[in-house]
Amino acid sequence: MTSRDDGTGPASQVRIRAGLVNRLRQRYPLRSVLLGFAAPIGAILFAALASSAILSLGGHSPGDVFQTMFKQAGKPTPFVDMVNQAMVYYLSAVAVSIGFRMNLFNIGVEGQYSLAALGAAYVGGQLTGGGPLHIVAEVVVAVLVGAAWAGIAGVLKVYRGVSEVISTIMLNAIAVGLGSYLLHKLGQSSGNNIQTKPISSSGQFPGISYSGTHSKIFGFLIVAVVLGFAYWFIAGRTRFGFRIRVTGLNEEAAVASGVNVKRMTLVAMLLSGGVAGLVGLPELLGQTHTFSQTAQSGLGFAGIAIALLGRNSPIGMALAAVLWSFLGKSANQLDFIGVPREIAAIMQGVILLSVVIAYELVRRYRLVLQQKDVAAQLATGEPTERDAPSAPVVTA
Amino acid sequence: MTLAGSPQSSDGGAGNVGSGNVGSGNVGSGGDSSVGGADLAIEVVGVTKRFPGVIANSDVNIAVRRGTVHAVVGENGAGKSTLMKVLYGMLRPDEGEIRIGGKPVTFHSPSDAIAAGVGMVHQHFMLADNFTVLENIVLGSEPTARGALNFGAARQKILALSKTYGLDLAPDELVENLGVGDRQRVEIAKVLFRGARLLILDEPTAVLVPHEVDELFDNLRELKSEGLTILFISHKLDEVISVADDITVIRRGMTVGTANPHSITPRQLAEMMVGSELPSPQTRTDTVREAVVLSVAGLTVADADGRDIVQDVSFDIRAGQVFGIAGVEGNGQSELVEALMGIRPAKSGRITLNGADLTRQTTRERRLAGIGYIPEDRQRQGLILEGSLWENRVLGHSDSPPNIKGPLIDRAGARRDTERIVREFDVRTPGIDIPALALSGGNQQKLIVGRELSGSPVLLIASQPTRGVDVGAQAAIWEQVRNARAAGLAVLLISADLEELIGMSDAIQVILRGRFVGAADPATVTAEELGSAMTGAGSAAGAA
Amino acid sequence: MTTSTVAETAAPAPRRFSRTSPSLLLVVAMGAFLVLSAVRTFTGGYDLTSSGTVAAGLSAAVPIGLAGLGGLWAERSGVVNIGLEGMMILGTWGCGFLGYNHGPWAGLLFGTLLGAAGGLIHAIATVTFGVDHIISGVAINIIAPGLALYLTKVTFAHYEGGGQKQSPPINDAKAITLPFSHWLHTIEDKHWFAVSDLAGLIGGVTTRLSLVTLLAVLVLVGSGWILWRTAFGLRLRSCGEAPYAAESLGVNVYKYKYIAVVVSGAMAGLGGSALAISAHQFRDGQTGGRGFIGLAALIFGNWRPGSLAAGAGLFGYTDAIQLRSSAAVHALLLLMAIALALIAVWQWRTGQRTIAVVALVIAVLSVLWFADTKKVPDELVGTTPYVVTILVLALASQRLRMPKADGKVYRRGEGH
Repeated sequence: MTSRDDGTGPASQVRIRAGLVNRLRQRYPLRSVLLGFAAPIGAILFAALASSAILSLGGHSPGDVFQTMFKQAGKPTPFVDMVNQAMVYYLSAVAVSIGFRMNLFNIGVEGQYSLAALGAAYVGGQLTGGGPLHIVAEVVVAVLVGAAWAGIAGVLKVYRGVSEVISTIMLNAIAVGLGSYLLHKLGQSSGNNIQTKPISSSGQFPGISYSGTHSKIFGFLIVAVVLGFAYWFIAGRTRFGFRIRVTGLNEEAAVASGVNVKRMTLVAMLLSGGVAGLVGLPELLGQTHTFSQTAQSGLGFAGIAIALLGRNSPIGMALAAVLWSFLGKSANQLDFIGVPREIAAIMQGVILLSVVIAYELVRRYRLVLQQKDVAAQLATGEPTERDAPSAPVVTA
Repeated sequence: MTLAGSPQSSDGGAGNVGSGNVGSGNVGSGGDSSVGGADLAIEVVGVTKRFPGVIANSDVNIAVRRGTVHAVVGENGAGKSTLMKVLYGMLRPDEGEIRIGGKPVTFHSPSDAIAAGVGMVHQHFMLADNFTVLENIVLGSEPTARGALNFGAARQKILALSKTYGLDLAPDELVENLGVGDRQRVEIAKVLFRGARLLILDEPTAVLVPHEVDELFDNLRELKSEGLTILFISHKLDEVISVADDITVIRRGMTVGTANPHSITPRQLAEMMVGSELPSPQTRTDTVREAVVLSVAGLTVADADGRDIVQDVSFDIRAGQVFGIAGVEGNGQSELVEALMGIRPAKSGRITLNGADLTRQTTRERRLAGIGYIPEDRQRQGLILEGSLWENRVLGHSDSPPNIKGPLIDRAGARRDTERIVREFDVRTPGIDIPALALSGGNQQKLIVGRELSGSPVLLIASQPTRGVDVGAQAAIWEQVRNARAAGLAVLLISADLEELIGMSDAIQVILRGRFVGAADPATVTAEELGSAMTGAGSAAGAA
Repeated sequence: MTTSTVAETAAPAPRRFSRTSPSLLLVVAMGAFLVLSAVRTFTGGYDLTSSGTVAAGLSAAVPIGLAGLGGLWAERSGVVNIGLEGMMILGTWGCGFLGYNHGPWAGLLFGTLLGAAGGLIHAIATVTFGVDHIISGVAINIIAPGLALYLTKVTFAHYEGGGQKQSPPINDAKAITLPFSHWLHTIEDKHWFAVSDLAGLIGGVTTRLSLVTLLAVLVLVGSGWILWRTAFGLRLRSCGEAPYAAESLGVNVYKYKYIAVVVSGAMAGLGGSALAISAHQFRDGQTGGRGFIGLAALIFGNWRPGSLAAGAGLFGYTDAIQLRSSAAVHALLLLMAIALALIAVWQWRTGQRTIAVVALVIAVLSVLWFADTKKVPDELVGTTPYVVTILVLALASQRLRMPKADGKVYRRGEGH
């Protein structure tokens, strides 16, 4: 409590010197910014320590492992791979975070994207020609299927009070069965595998070349970037986004302020599912052009982790997606030095767990600081004032 | 610890104290009570409890005689609840001590208090709804036999207690099937089951309807006659006078004196409670205009079970008029307000605002039509606690200027207007970017009032607008409402504070079991008359 | 006297069904049995009630039931545990690790311990640090499979009979067969209405009954007794219903939550071990979502041990039936239609007309599906537990009663 920034000084002083720098410092005090970074960095360091311990116990050298991973990430082909994977993670995280903003836990991204990708692959395979409309049709189908599958959970929540956590867990499992049933029904066999009819070239999303490798960065990157901006803008700047935020933070206050919470819940679930529908598309439209049993799974859970790590912020989630993808992809190389690549999954899980703990600790610490600020303000504002102890120490 | 460079800090201000715990057992506050500890059940000596920026209790002294009902009265926010938490081991005093039977005791947790024979009946019931009465009562001190819970023994003991003190308990009933009065008896039984000899009851009548209050008081007399001691916390003066043997008054965290219930009048007690600086809520100048702003006709509202909780209520509020509704809590006021706001559907009836039918409109449409709303529970319904002050300014007003630019939120506009509210309504805060939960209750409420009076509303629905705020904030809020009224605002005021209701209102209706049962003229009616009309005892007081 | 006071003054609490009495359960069970017999006789899906199906169903139900029991312990103390799946995986690996050369019981013990360790992590995150329960569960579900596979590669891969994704074989646990069970098989083969079905049922339970299954039954009964009949159990449950009330009576809520969540992990670990033993080895991905099915059984069983066991039995049964006979699976459709029709009638009478209609529509669709096809696609049979749970949640959720403070973060001293 010795030195503090000007932002907390008497209001009159601040108003007089209201330069841009001051305003920024008032809105984003250094302390607050540092605290914000402390949590994720601390968590990553802790995860590095924990995984080093596990590696050492298994008789491996942590130094070698990390070196191998970083070296791998610098090579062109793995780099492109990593970017592509990060993009997919990012889409999943955005889908999850739309729910999070409303206090909805969409665990069902997993099921939503797999059915959506199947639907898009099927429709894409049936269509021929049509130029860009072909792609549009695929995207629309994916969004609709994802939204519809999430909508089941939304309807159950709004009309029957069923926790979306439970219903989406169940829907995930049903999606697995339903997906493989539909694949058998709609697909064609190719060797040992059953897959949908391949999408013709007009329905494929062109990739972006990267020097030094034949692998291409999925063109869907553009969609992901646009989506990120749209998300940031809608969530942070619009009245709709504000209503979402209010509902997520205090549902009763939202009702009293005129938000139709039921409708918002349904809308948020549909939006979340719609975005989830996009998750399978970069790979489908950019690489495989067909949906089969071997399509990537587990992206929904990764999305939850990344949304948490990135605190629902578009930039934060992008960084987290890159980190996640880096860990996952560069670990593939570890098999060559005799270290099981699963160490990456352990790191990811430990990062997730420690980062949420760190965020929680920071949140509480920040609250204590803010209450001290207010207390100081009250004391200087009117020395004799003995304000009513309405809520002794505010409970969070 | 004062900040360097803060110009106004003249004396090491009472408020600016670190949160440091001074530990317990800091005895040595002078003046050993001369009364022998023997006939005192519990003694509070020089207890002080500080929170960051606030001294909740300051040198509080109370002596409670064995076998009596001792009332501690004080305004909301006077520090009663803090004191009770200290007595029950939920908080540790920074200074001073508690003596039981003359011996100093230190409570580290409620368990210590229970072991010392102190029991607490909380204002908000601490019951598990899905447990039986028996399970709720024995929890934490269960009789066991061969490893298992001995239900038989527990049942017997509870029935015995029930009989001795007339508590009328059904041990195997689920608590969720019980009414409020029964739940309170379960709470009392919980305490007695643990062998408590001193019962602390925190605002026990707040949730009761009048005849339940009578039953409670019968129970208390029963307990007293069995030799138990009762510490009764309240701010309802007539109740205190009717049940207590001794009264201690606390104000702003300090004991200001004791009173004899047999000789003091509620008026005198009120003056002790509020002190001489009692801000007057009077609004005598007549500002009522001709135009009817809100018109409610035959409004009936049903609760979740389909029962009519508001029945056939009709009234008009004119521009510049404050229309007060008096009633014991739980008689349909909350539901009426929610129906007016569109939070709860109206079963039948018509609501019109300036001639436009609102009955089927959504909450948002009603707000846009010019209704401002101060909800009764500000933290639950009025604020986003984690949100910054400026976001809270936008809350409920996210469809009207200065908060919007087309479909967007106008951050700059909202921030500017928040600065205005902070200034005009004297919200004490270091800035508008801190979260609302960092503010004290009074300042939170001033922010809400400022927000709801912004954007020139035509009608303000104010539910308990000054509940739990300090005297200064109360006066400020009254002042602002008065000004708006003079400018032609129609106000619906619902308050448990009868002085406030009488002082502020131009017309009063009494609500009982969901119906309007009589009008009162605020110019002539007294709090006592109004109080008895609210319980259905008196005929409509001071017919308007 | 009490009731009259309530009636006059306060709102009478919404009508609620009294706790399900054992006799009612018995009637329901008998009714279900008779319907099953009838459906079996009518459709000729003999495997619906054959002793083979029953035995297979029972052994499939054990891991599910134990996972559900894990959920019961945690959620009764107010902590949601969707990390059951991960804890189960730890259990399967642990059982493989000690099981292959020290026998199934050593494996079982170690698997249980590893599950408990998973529970401990969940407890630290949720109870001590107040992290959202779902988040912590997701993290555990991410860590556990990775950790198990990592450990497999650094251990089993080097053992004889082991591999990159599996452990060397584990010996079977002892099984017991009661002497009269071959008689039952004779009766069963007559296909008499009800009698043969009953013989199949009893025969399935008494033939080659694994001691692990017996242990699971003991654990189930023991859990029920501890949670509902002891002071410890009352306190533990109070933490899930009203933690601040418990706190105000001197109950150390943190302690009980810790115990509950660790036991929860142990149960999941035990379930994982049972799975590994019945499969005779640890395999990557062996749990196949059974932790989640356990969660489904918990909800289906309304957070009570008896009906949880019934749920686990039902889900294990559908699992077994799918492997044995497609005709039997087909018959299940009819069974579902009957159950839905019953729900429709009940909801109609309680005034929930919309729901009754929805239930009836689904019932009719099931019948149509039954009539229109010869066989239910294999892929869809596996989804039965989830579909049933969704239907129960959607159509009969007012019967469900989860602990009131379940999933809420509790901080000491922050109640009112």
